[in-house]
Amino acid sequence: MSTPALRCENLSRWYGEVQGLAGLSVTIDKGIIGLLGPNGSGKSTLMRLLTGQIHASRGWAEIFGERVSPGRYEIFRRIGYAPGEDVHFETERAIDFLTLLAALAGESRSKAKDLADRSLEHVGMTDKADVTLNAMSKGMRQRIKVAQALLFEPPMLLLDEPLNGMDPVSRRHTLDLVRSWAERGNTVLLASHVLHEVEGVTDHMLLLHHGRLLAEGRLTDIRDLIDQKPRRATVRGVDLRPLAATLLAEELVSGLDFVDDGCLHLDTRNLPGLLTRLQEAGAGGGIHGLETDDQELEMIYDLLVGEAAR
Amino acid sequence: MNAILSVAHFSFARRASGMRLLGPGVIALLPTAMMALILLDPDAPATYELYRNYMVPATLYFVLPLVCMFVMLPILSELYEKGSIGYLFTRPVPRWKPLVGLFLGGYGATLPVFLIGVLAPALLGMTFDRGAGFQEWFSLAFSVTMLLWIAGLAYGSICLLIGVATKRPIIWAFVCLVGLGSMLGSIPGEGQQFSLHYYLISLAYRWCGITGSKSDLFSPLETVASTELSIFILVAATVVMLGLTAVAARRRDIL
Repeated sequence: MSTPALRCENLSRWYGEVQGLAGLSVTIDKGIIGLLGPNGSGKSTLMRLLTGQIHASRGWAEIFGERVSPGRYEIFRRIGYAPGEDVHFETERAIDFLTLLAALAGESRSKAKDLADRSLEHVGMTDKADVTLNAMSKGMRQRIKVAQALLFEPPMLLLDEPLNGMDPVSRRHTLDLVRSWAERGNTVLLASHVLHEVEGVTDHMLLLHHGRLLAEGRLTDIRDLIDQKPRRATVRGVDLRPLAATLLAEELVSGLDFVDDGCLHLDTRNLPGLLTRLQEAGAGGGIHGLETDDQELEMIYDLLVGEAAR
Repeated sequence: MNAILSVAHFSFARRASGMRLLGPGVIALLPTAMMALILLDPDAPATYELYRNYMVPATLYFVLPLVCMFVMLPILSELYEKGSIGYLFTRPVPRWKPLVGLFLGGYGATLPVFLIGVLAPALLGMTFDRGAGFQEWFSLAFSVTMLLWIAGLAYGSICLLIGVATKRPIIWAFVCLVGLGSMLGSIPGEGQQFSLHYYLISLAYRWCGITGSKSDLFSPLETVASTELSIFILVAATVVMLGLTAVAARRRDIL
């Protein structure tokens, strides 16, 4: 049997009385795995445990068959880690920051510079090599964080909320990068508190809640459950009454509420169908704005926790 | 070696950039200000004796620990507070390498501060009221600079350890360096030999010709350690402190 990329057994960590991670036992192999959970669910704790930055209170983790613990450093040639914290090497230029980290691994100055150049190329920031980190937007610094994780093109990437603060273009670029990295046979553990970010690149997820593994498996199975739950969309525009009548007639909404003449709340059990219909209707110019509730992750917790309670 | 040097370069640039050396520089120039005030007094005694017997001890008692605290303490405590230390500790090298690099860079930043802190009052005294020949002034300034540079290794490494091992590094550094170090080293008896301060003062006795009978500021030593032993103790203390720093860094969680 081949060695799994990552294996945790009863991995636990307490911060005094507070439970950071409780008895996590999982085995992960190649591909992208979404690590989902709200703030405080244990995602960053797991990342820190896997990179030996904190001690486990109980249990253990192995990466490519090697036990992880603070002070064991050889494994970092095979792990690329992008922390959740911002990069605070503010006065460094991007190229110097990356060269420093490559040289820290023992590479010569010229080799380190080559590795740094290649990493910047990976994240599409070659033209920002000479920009200091404090002159960059948060999204750009996020990409630099990903770049430093890619320095040695490791077979495992641990990315802690890499999309936070990124603009849509950077976000798409980073997700494409993650996807292509996994397609090369590598492993990517992608932590996020936003479901649709992860959903775009993988169907495989670990769902953490209050430090515990709430669910593991295919996102689509849960997605089916969510889609049956009532959701709310808010439409802004002009002359919305005919549209409301059409949606009711087509049974795409289960209820509606006019906030005023230009704003309409729609309740639906078929959000994808409603959104498609609204996009068609919006093509004529009558709809100026469209928002949906961003409660998907909370809904999943409600569903799973509710089922567990039952 | 690349690992250590690259971090040392980074650490030096970080410590020496912007206004970060302004505070330590001001502290280091306090003896210069004292010298300037003395020169304004026409009845003041010869500046060479004043410099040697009062300003040099004051430099060792206060300037040395305070400059080390200002420069060395933030090196690790800042990186820990901001979580940035994780970038250095998740590389395929043992943790002592980036730690030594950080230490060397910070230590390098103290060297010009000490140099200026010694040369400036010496030049002032030499120019306006020699009290001694150029060679004597130069010899004394050179000895004091060497003394500070060697002692800076040990004091700096203590600051580095405090930066990792404690949650309130400034208080602990003040207690250890200014309080305990000076006090323990000043208590008459054999107990003072357990203080790094004792070996620092021994070197000052031997290299600068300062004695307790000449300076009210200096603690009287019943026995004076040899130059070799003093240097050995200060360098060995540096190695031990760096080792303890590596152990503390391994034990401390990066949160």
